[in-house]
Amino acid sequence: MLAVMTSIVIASLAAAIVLLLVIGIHLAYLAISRSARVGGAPMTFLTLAGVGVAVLWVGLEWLMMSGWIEANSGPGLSVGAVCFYLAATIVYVEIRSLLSRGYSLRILIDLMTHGKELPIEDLKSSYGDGLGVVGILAKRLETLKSLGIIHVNGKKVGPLTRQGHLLAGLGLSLRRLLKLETVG
Amino acid sequence: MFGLWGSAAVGVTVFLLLHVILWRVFPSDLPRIRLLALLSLIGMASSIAVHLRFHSRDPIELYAVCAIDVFAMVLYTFFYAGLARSVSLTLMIRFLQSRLDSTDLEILAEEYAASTRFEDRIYLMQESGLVRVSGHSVSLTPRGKQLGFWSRALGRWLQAGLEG
Repeated sequence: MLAVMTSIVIASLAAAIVLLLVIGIHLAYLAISRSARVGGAPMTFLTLAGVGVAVLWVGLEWLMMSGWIEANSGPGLSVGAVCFYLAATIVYVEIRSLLSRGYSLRILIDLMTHGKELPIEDLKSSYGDGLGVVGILAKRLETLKSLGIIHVNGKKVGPLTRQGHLLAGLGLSLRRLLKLETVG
Repeated sequence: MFGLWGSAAVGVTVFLLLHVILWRVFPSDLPRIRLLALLSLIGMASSIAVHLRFHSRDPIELYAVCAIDVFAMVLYTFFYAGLARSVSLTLMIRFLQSRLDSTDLEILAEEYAASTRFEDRIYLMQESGLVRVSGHSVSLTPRGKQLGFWSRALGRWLQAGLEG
């Protein structure tokens, strides 16, 4: 039993180490290539995370062969460690996404910057360090365009692409299913 | 191996069923992430119970079942955050429902500014204890100041733009 628990701890530690390495490399990449910083280079991170899965899996195989962890533990140990690793990478991506594009967080930062009470209208017009509502929409539309969800041509926006229609329909159905009414 | 995924699937199903039932019976404007976390724990407990009953008591298999559940729940939470609050999704749905071919960015912006979406977000933040609304003015609560401070610090450390 002790050997089994030790194997679980070692496998989890291996997952944590690989995760920290992947995040470290991603942050180093962002520091070096400043132009990628605003977007956070999501494709770079996804690639690194994928490589991390392979490194973790091979690493666990090596640990089994070297006798550091139970050799007859079956695929369960590797599956478990990889799933925890993937869960942690999703948390990292979500934190980054919230920090860079969080609507409510940006409102908090704007209020902190002004350092005092602000009328709602002033807060709205100065949102995002002066970006305002037009700025929010333009940013979101640029992202949707780059993902192939909507057509944007200069100041003309729309229509949705076929993929956009499907995603919008799915989103609408799920919001109705969960009765989510006051949303973004 | 099928046992691992089968047991984890039971937990995810229990979680999703409870989530949909509760959200429909008790609708709310708040994201209720803590309640979602509690439902995840109930789902995970169901997975473990099923695995213990029908498969094995092997600690490594139980570890794998928990890990698969954690991964599924975290993935769903990531997806749910977008569903509940995404401005982009709201924009897409607006185009779908209005059946418009195209429109000007300015018209969209005017529409958004005239709507109550920004004010709704402020009132949701008030319900979460992050801001205080008095009359038509907004100020930060101590909790809001703390969250703003740590977000800014974390944003600098992770090199995230904090652009909104």
